[in-house]
Parts: sequence; C-alpha cells; structure tokens
Amino acid sequence: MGYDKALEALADPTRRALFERLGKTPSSVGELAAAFPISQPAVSQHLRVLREAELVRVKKEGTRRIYQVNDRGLSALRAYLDSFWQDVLTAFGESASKHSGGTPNDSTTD
Amino acid sequence: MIQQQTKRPLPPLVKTITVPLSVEHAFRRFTEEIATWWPLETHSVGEKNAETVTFECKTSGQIFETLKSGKTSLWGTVQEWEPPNRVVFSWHPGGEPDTATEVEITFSDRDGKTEVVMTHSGWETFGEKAEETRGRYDKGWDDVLGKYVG
Repeated sequence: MGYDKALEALADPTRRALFERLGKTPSSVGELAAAFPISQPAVSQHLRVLREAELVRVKKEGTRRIYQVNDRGLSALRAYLDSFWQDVLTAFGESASKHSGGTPNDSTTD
Repeated sequence: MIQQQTKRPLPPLVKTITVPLSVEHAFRRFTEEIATWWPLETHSVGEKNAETVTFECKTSGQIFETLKSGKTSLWGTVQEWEPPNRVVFSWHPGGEPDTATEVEITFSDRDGKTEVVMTHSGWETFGEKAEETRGRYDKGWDDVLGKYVG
C-alpha cells in the first residue's frame, strides 16, 4: 500500500534493531558488526537502505564515519501516515453522509 | 517502566471524524461494509489492480485485499472485536505480520451522531516491539565490551 519508504525499511527486523541501536548509541559500521550477529558487509547494506529512507545519517568524526538516527525520515513517515488516515476517514465520512441522506431512518435499518 | 528508557520522538497518530449515523450503523459500515467506501484505487497494495477489500468481523478475523488476479494481500488481523464500540487490529499492508503496527477504532454516540476515533500506534515505537531482539543483541554487545574492559 504505497507503504512509505521508511516503513518498508523498518519492516526488516534486523534493520529495525540496527535503527534502534543507533537511536540509543550512534555507532560506526564496525561497532554495529561487532554487536550484531551479521557480517560487516551485511551491516553496510542495511545502513544503505536506512540512509536512502532518510532514517539514518552519517557524521564524520576524524577518519571515522558514525551513523546516527535522522529525525527527518521519521517526520516524513509521520506526515505520510497522517495523510493516509486522513484520506481514509474522509472517504468514510463522505460515504456515511451520502448513506445517511439516502436513508433517513438508517438508525433503524438492519 | 521500559517506556521511560525508550526514545519516543513521535507519539501515536490520532484522527477523529463525526458521521451522521448511529453507532451501530457506523461500526457496521466501517467494518462489514468496508468495501463500499475504502479508497482502494489509491490506498491499497494493488492500487488500480485492487478488486475489493474484506473485513472479517470476528476476533482473529482477517482484513485483506483481493486483487483482480484473484490473489489476496493481508493487511492485518482483528485483535479485539467489541461491536459496536471498538475494534483493534494489527496493521501491516505490504509487510509481514511480524512487522505489524496497531490500529484502534472507537465509535461513541454524540447526540445521535457517531464520533469515530482512529489511533495508529506502534509505528513510532519500534523499539518497544524490538525489545526482545534488542535484549539479545545488548547481551552480545556487553559480551564484546566485557572482553575489552576485563
């Protein structure tokens, strides 16, 4: 369902765990690979997906590249869900109004 | 509580609408008659290839979309079925059940009309859902650190 990029990225349990860790502790690829039972290339691949979804970003500390949570992606996700449910409830409301108009005694129909 | 430790950058999403129907009718329309109003062309997995949507009205009932090809796509599963005032279902269209968020819809009488409140939660706090996973990972992390500290 045009599920937003950010939700798609977080749908993978490993990516979600990586994302969560970065929320608590900004880390390098090496640190993540040490903390998770997956290889460094696999960590890099997951981080690429999270970056594309704007959920994480990189900060350079000297020669180290530290990954951290990017709040922009989360805000975009919220905006997406907000408009999604707004559309759904609006459709429901319009349908209900029409239905009500067509059958004034709707509360007694069954 | 765990919640105090969890980063909560975004609260659950809450939407409200009042419709000119009785509570019973609004509830039925939202659930059993969902196919008559859900904006499938834009709000579905298949979009233009989506044929219909079904809401199985019972606890553990499934909410799913049927594509024109006949294939189905599960959106979620009813967790709490309390007609005509409340329904709670898991929500993971386009994703796997273990990645579900949660939607609660309540229906309350407001002078003959019905106020419908939708609360979508779980999506902003993946941390709580991943708590078990993280517990395992955290232990692994401690083991690693322990080697250096020790």
